[in-house]
Amino acid sequence: MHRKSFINISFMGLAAMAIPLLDCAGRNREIKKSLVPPAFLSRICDAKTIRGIGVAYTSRFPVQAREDLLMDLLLADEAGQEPARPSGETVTASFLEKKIQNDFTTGNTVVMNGWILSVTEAQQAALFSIMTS
Amino acid sequence: MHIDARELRSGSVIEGDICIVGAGAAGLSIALEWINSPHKIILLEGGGFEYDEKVQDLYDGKTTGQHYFPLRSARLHYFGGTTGHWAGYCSTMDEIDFQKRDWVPYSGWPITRKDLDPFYARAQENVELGPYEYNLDYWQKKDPDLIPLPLDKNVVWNKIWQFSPPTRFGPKYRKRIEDAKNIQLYTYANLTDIISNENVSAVKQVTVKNHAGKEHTVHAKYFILACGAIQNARILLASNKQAPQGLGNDQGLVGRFFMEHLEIKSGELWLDRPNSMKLYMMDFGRTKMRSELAISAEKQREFKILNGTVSLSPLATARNTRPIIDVWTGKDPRKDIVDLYQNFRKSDHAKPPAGASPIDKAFQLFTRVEQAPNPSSRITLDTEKDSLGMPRSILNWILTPLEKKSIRKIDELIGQQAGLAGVARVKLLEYLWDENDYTWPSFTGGGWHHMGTTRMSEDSKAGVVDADCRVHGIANLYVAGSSCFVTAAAPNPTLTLIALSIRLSDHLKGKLKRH
Ligand SMILES: Cc1cc2nc3c(=O)[nH]c(=O)nc-3n(C[C@H](O)[C@H](O)[C@H](O)COP(=O)(O)OP(=O)(O)OC[C@H]3O[C@@H](n4cnc5c(N)ncnc54)[C@H](O)[C@@H]3O)c2cc1C
Repeated sequence: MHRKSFINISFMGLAAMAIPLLDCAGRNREIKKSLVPPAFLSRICDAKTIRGIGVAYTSRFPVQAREDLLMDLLLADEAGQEPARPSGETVTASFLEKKIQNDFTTGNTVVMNGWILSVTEAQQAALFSIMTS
Repeated sequence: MHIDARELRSGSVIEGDICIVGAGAAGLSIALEWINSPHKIILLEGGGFEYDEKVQDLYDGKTTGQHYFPLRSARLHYFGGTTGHWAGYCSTMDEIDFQKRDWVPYSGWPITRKDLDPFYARAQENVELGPYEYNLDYWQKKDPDLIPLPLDKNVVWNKIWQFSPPTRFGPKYRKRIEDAKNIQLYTYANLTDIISNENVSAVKQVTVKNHAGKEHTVHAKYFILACGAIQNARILLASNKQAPQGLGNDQGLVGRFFMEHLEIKSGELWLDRPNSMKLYMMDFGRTKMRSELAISAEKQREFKILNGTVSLSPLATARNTRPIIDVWTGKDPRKDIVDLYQNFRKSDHAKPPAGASPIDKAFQLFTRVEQAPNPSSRITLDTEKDSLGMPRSILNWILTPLEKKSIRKIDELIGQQAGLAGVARVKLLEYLWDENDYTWPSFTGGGWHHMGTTRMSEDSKAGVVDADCRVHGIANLYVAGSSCFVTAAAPNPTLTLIALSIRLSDHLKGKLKRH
């Protein structure tokens, strides 16, 4: 194979690969956006308070202070395994709502800045604080 | 019949079948039970029918330990007693309150809730409450707008409270007492000493004094101390001529186990949408009943916490209310009560218009928790004496970590249940954030509830009075009031202390019948 045609083919191949990668990043951004802010909290307090809760969470659990990890944690199923990838905003909302409900049922709660929260919504607040800082 | 003891010739001897000392909620409730009986009842009241500075000053004393209201103003010293100032909040103790709880040291009454039930029903009338009904279903049938928050009853339940008008025992019962032929009410008759026989097995007589310089002696078959938990202990300790440690104090228990209710703002409940909160609201003087949030006995056992209930009030208003411990600071109770009402009124005016912001759907959680019985929390005698020559009292109010742990857990359970129901989130106040912090904030206060200083036990080594409220070892001396409480439970004490006093009264009726 001529060197030139190899370069051409490689370039085309890269371009072909980059399109789904870009697509994937865009989708991630969309999902991330659908994970924040925590719905219930946003109905009762302002963004500053939610950010404060998020900062409190990441300083208590500094290893979780990463967007990708928080996203994985939020999208993990009830057993905390296999991240699920819900498609639309409504699907994400109802998925999180169920998770929050389950947190309260099983006592998977934390106290952050005094707020008694489901771990899921505290993680949402953490993701929100990172995304908006 | 009424006699002013200042008008009697000094050295008078008064005689009767039963001598009740103190005409407050406890003493008057007993006296009312004996009207038209064949027995002669002597009712001794230290004050007159009106407030009197000199008499009130007999209550002055020191406080150490946890910051408390001035002793001089925390009680009223005249006919009717502290019902002249009480707010009328009433509820019944729960079954668990009478039980021995291994996580609550010194808990366990020698009587049960069932034993008190018939007397609670009678006590309701004395304080002009509604029907003897503390079941939410009953009240909901009367008013379907009383809608509870949708919380799991196995964790958080609705404890019903009823509100007395509040009944002021002085004006309410004065005429009935004065008109009763078999009751001799002596005002300005301050008990200053109890004299027992030589082997301290019975009371021979009591001494009363007043500021007119008169001193009288009272003889009776039975004596009942009904002067409030601080004064009951003080009188027993100061009556030390025959028993150097004080009467009924062979085990050194008189005055110990002083308990209060911790009444403290603890958190905020934020609803995300308007909810009918009528069941939980209270308009002083108008509301007849309401509910407070309480923790089930099972959960108290599981988490090893004290009993408590949580009231809800609109946050916008509550935030502007000064803590009562900062308001009730003076030595004149008449001024303190005015300041207290002004404080509530002021905060009402500061309330923003409804619907303006999420805060209109937010409520302050105000937790009232029992204090764990603690022998170090106690009343002792001072070397300083009052104007009638009695040693003054010293209150050393001591709290334990269990109270704080319990407040935190109670609010946390409410928070978890509110979250689970999807109706609200709870925010704890900052002093509760750190589980390992057992200090108390400056606004920690009590409810002017004095309890435990002559605790009840069938074992004479573990209590001052027996299950009939008789002082161990002294055949004819009884104590009426919340000083006999073994544990404080969550509700304010007056309804229970009246029930206990009526029970004591029935016990004495039985005794007199037999003789
Ligand atoms: C501001 C305030 C609000 C309150 N609100 C409530 C409430 O909402 N609900 C509730 O349950 N409780 C409430 N309480 C507490 C309630 O007032 C008491 O529990 C109740 O009055 C106690 O009754 P008692 O008869 O034991 O004592 P008291 O009512 O204090 O009566 C004692 C009587 O003994 C007399 N006395 C004292 N010493 C002597 C002596 N040496 N010789 C002769 N007589 C003597 C006194 O003059 C008085 O008349 C409140 C108290 C205060 C101060």
